Amino acid sequence: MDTVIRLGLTLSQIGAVMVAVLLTVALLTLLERKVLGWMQDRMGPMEVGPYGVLQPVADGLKLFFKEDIIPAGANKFMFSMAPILSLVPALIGFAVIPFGPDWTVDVGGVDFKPFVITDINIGVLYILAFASIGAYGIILGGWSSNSKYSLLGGLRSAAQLISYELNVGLSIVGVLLLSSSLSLVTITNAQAGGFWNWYFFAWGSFPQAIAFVVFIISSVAETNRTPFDLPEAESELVAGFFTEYSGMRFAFFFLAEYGNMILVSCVATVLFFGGWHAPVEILQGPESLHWLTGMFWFTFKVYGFLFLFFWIRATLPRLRYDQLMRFGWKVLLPIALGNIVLTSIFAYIFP
Amino acid sequence: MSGSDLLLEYLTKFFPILIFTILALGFGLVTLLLSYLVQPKYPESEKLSTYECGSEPFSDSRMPFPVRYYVIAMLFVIFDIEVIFLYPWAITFKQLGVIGFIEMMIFIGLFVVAYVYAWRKGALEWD
Amino acid sequence: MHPFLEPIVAKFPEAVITAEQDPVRGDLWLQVKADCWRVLAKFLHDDSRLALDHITDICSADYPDDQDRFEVIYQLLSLSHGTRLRIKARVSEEESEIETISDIWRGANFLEREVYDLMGIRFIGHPDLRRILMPDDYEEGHPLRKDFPAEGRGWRSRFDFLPKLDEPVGEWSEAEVPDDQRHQFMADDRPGDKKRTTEMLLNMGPQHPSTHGVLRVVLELDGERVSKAMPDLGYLHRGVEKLAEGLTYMQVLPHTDRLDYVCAMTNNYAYVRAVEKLIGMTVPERAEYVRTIIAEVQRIVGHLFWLGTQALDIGAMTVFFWTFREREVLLDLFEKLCGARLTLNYYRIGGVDADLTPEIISTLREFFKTFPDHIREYDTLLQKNRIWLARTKGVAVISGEDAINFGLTGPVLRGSGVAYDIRKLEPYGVYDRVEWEVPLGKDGDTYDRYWVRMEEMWQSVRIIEQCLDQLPEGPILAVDAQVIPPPKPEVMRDMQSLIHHFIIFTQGFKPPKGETYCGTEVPKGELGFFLISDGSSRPYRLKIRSPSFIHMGAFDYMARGYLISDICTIFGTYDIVMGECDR
Repeated sequence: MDTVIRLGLTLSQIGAVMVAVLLTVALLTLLERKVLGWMQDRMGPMEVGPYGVLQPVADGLKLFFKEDIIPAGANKFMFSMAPILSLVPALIGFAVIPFGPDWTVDVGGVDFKPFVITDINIGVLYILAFASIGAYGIILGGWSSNSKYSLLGGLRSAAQLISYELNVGLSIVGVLLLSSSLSLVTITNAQAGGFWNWYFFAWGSFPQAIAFVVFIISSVAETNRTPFDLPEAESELVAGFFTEYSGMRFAFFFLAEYGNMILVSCVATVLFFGGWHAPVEILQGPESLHWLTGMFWFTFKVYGFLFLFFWIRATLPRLRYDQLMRFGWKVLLPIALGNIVLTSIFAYIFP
Repeated sequence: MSGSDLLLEYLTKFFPILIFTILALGFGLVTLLLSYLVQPKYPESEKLSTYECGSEPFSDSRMPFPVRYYVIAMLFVIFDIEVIFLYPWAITFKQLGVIGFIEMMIFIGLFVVAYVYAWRKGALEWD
Repeated sequence: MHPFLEPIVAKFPEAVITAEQDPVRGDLWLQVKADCWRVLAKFLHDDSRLALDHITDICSADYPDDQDRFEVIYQLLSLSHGTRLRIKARVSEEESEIETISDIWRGANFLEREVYDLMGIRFIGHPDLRRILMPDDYEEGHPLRKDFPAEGRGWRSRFDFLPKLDEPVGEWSEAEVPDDQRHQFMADDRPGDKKRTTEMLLNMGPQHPSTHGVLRVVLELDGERVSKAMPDLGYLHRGVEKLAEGLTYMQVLPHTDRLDYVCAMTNNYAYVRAVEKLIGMTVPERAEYVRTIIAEVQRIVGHLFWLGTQALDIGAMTVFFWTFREREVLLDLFEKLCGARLTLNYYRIGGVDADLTPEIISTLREFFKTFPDHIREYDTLLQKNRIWLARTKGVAVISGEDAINFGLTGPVLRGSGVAYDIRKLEPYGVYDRVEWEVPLGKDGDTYDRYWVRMEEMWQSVRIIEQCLDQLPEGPILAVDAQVIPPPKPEVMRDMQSLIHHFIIFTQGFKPPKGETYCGTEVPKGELGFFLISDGSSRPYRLKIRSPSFIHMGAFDYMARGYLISDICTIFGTYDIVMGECDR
């Protein structure tokens, strides 16, 4: 009986998270175009529905009903599987993200945490591991298309992965030093009390602001967003790794990219900005309302990061391949290493 | 806690991830299938040809291709493993005390030496 | 004899047939023997008294009735002396070959290919003599010959344009392009790297987002590094030069809009200036002012377009929308002025079409009040942006010497520090009556060319504001009953005017026999028109010296060793427009 209840609860939780993520992606496609539009003195989509709000629906329907072309020279199996290989890691990363307070409720005799699908003790590693699997989808998609533009895009993606994966890993070590845990739930709980406890500020020990900057730059690179959108650089490689993709498979790459964006925003929120905690205690409201204010603050912070993604896209030109690698290896890596050393020294002196 | 309990706990904790993976895969496959059922299919040789800006491709794209970042890729593998060693240390930092601190500083020192060596040797130069 | 020509005649008395200065138009020209041409060319290039270091154009003309049927016409320019020289050499139909000069002036490479393609004159010793504008497998011969019909010979009617929907899907085959077709896109000299056996040849264009139209460049890649970048032009070749031979001088005018369609009016200006020079016409003062104002506004529009697309090529999308916002204001103004937004047509032979209204002047003044702030706004996104600097500094470097040797003009040349601006060298319009400077780059990289163009916008603002202040009253069209159609009210009242009107519009005016070259500084560089008149109402030969075409000749040189990303930067930095490049 317990197993059935547990399974039912988990399934509904996963369903809710997946729906929430997919809806957010839909919203983001609209928001991105609107935000970019406003920054560029234009309106963005205006035709579908009032102020273009139904644009994502129209886009989704179009892609769903569109002919899905597999080029004749492509490796059909790889070509079909690559988008899914890209999409799955982007979705399942959300399994360890705490969206709200660390509550445990008793449902029919089963301990149940409503705001996190599963609180595993290697959460950070889990996310890092799956984030890099997503890049395989891109590399395979680029290779299997049998188009030179796709191939170049795929290879660039590999170059990007090896340049920035390391920095993501290193930038997190500082947070781990302070929190002594790999579980995202524990890390969030450790930042309770007020914004000065968030690891970005980390009152009383070494602030992780530098680590945060390294993390966010590397994350932009890992999600293939401007100025690091080399694998799909539209002015150079036409559409890069998804040049040959159309219809639903194209949509999956799109979903994966935006899913990853949301995921890294969630991770940044949890690791550096206190997750669901309000900046000051008073804004958190009474204990019984923590689920509401917690969700609000979490969403608020995540959208802040997403806005940052759009903002960067509107502002910066694209880096070049060699510049990107040089920046990752010769600038970010030493900074991240220095941050670890400084943090550990501080943590040792002021335990 | 006995070994089997620990195993059970791990299973219950990791089981949702398995379900999630299956669901995500299922979502992907089912959507693809549904889309496949409703979409129009008018293949023709021009449409199925590889995109190369409207010109005839000179050759198959699966050809030996010089990736310039080969050495960097090897360095990445090595350094990434070293980073993984930092993780357990960082978590148990508070229990390890001064010995752990010094040990890890030596480890990071070695890391830095390797890094500086690679830099000086020009391995990080892109071309 | 003009003193400039004396050393040539003294050194090669037997090679030079005629050495003259056109008494009306002032052009210096030589008629030389074709078989002595190469030695002479070397002398022209190397001798310090001549120093004809800049190749402006190579043109060809066909005289079917003459004994030596073809004439190859070279336009050379000495930047240090500021003198132009035209050299003509005749070749017979049977031989139809002349020695190449593409190793003396590297810019001659593409120009000679063009002459070969369109007129069928072979250049002995040319490294890569292939068709350039027409397709490689073009079967109908050489279209600019006089015996070639303007509508072609039916080759195109054999094309199957429609996709074959009912046919079954063809088996995909790994059909390799034959080696001889691949070879032309591959670099011969590959220093170092001996181990490499396979090269990737990548088509960039014609259907590519950043090739600014239908340009095709075949890249030979070593990883992402470019070992050779061979432009393949002609996808937008419309044969404007051939068409012009069948039109009266006035009818050619609308065809010039379609050359550089981003700044259509500067093309009009270049053309009407050439015709005016041919018939020796002076333009009323107010018209000169208006022409200068509009040409500079058009330059701003062109540079705004360039800035937007260059930034977009490098990945900064916002700048593109911002520059188009300002461009929009000016396009509205053009619409008020001449009723069109893209194919603007405002300049007339002898003046302009309509007068500037007070409303347009006040709109212009209003625009220039806010425009400096807008330029600063672009600068906030680019000038101090480290990614932008990294992507432009040290990219596609060309030294001043090389740039001259390739015949580059305009901002691309000035970015390399060569102070060649026709508006200063041979002032036209009212450029000599206003104060302005020629901005010059230092390093000849993409950033310097960016900086030069940004400065040019400031200079344009200066010129326009002074012109608006000085703008005199007066007519805007010259009065010349033989050439310029009389105003409509007169046509309705006056018999004489009616007859002139009728003749001009049915037959066109007839300029005197002669030929002339006239270059104009357009946003892209030097747009030159070379006109040969045989005394009839249609140009016997009209050659367009388009800056984009000549810039493409230096593409391979500038792109080698850079990355794919930089190729897009180079497209942007040339500011190419294929309508003008392919003509």
